[in-house]
Amino acid sequence: MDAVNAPSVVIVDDHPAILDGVRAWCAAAGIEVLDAGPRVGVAVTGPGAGAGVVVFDLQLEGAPAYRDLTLLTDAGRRVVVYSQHADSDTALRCLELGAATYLTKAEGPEHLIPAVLAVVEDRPYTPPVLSGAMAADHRPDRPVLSEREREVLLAWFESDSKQLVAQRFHLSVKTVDTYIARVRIKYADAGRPATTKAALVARALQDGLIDLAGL
Amino acid sequence: MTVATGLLETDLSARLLRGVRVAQCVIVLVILLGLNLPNVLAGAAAYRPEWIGLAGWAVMVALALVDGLLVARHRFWGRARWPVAIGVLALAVAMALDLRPAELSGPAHITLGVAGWFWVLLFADGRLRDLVALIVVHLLVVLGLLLAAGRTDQVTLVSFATTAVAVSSFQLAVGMAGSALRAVARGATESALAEARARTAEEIATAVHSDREARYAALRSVALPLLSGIGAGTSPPSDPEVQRAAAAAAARLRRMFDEEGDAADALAAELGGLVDIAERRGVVVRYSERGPRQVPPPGAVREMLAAAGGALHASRVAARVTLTGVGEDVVLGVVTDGTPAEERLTEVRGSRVEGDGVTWVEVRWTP
Repeated sequence: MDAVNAPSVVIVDDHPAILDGVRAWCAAAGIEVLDAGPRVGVAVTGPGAGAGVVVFDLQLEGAPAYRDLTLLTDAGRRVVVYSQHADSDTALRCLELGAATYLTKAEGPEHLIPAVLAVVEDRPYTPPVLSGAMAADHRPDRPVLSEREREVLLAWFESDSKQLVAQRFHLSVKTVDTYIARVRIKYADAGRPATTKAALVARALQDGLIDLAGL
Repeated sequence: MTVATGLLETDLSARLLRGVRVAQCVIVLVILLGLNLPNVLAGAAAYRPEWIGLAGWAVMVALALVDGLLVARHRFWGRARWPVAIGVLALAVAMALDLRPAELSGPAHITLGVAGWFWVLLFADGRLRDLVALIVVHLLVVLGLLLAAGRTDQVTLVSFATTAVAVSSFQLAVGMAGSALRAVARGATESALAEARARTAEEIATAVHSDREARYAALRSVALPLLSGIGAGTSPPSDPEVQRAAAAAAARLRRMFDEEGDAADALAAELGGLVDIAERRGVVVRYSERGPRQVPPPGAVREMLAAAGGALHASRVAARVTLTGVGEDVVLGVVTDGTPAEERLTEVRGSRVEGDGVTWVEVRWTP
């Protein structure tokens, strides 16, 4: 299942223009598109079953396809949810169900390819809209964040520029990245367990992003 | 509104009826303890077996106490009303059957007088005709027992009729008083509700009116000098400062004409207006809202909108606008590819970061 050489994806989306767009971005970035189609089946059987990352449109035929998403994450697939929904609840729910990351369609041009490249290596990737959802998370069972973590998340959501965030808080871009990644790991470590979440935490431990005491 | 109306209604009628119910319950207890107890003790021999009289009396005392408890808790008998009423009738008939026929119109026949009072208690919130029906049925049964026992002599019948009329008319009078009071309570509730509605409507109208007046006054001070300046040529429309002021005034006008502008989230509504104005100029604005937010006071909202408006107006091609509730704070951020003028802030905190060819303006209100 793991991409040994070039990273590979399968695209589940029912909009032809999106399919073509994502294909074009992948081609430019040297990512192989193994299969694409409007149903989750393309990621489960056929050539798509071997793809390292599933780019998944949450809005298949109307309602959010949480069941399809659960099916994929339960099978241990790394899923990048790519949705037109911009609300916090949807984004946080997808993380809870084991999605690797959540992008809105508006964030696609800048963030989809970096997200796929990070996710294929089990590294966390948090685009601004997801960052805002975490910063403003009011749910009672949300992970506990430090004041600085919350401020950095909020700033990333507001500015969409790690350079600006770093400048504002007098930090290096790398440190900003670390703060954002740590929060993502806290979310992976909370709620319903999933192999995809465990992989994210394991990789973060390996990379020294967090230590066991930080969890 | 519906819930409040319901509460008010129950509250008013319960309060008005409470006095009557307390009085009714006291009457019954006084009759049971002061009148029936001596009679049943003295006339125990009239019952066969003898303990029946005292047992029946004890059941009735217990019922009266339950009613007292219900009154204390502002509750009525509800669904238990009919079963208990029939039970009381059955008890009265059973006791009359266990009584020697000679005592049927005598003092030992305690249920003859007191049974009706229980129906008065039970039907405190029910229909008067149910009460009348039960009383009549009870009297007819006792009359039937008298006739069956052959006690048709004039003295017995007259004595029975006197007791029946005296006691029943008193019971009916008290029952009718309760019924009349209920009608009064309903009327009082309705007029109180109508008055409350009228008062609320009046207060809303006054508030809306004074709000509009305040906004018109503010507009006069903003829009009129601007318009007269443009008219007189002292404020040329090509001046960016004039454009900015015009955009701000236009946003406020839009809000005033917007029916939904009175909604709770004035900040988001006006921000939407500002975004709209920028988009009409061809600026691509990405707008995101996150998290539940508190409502900042008007002064803070004004400053936040002024900062956002300034930043949006300075945008040339693209802007990013975010409105977030983080903890207790409300944070409004604008990233613009222009260079907005610095706003003077007193009620909110501001921050400004320049780099990457953009300016990021943040204003934050903390309660």
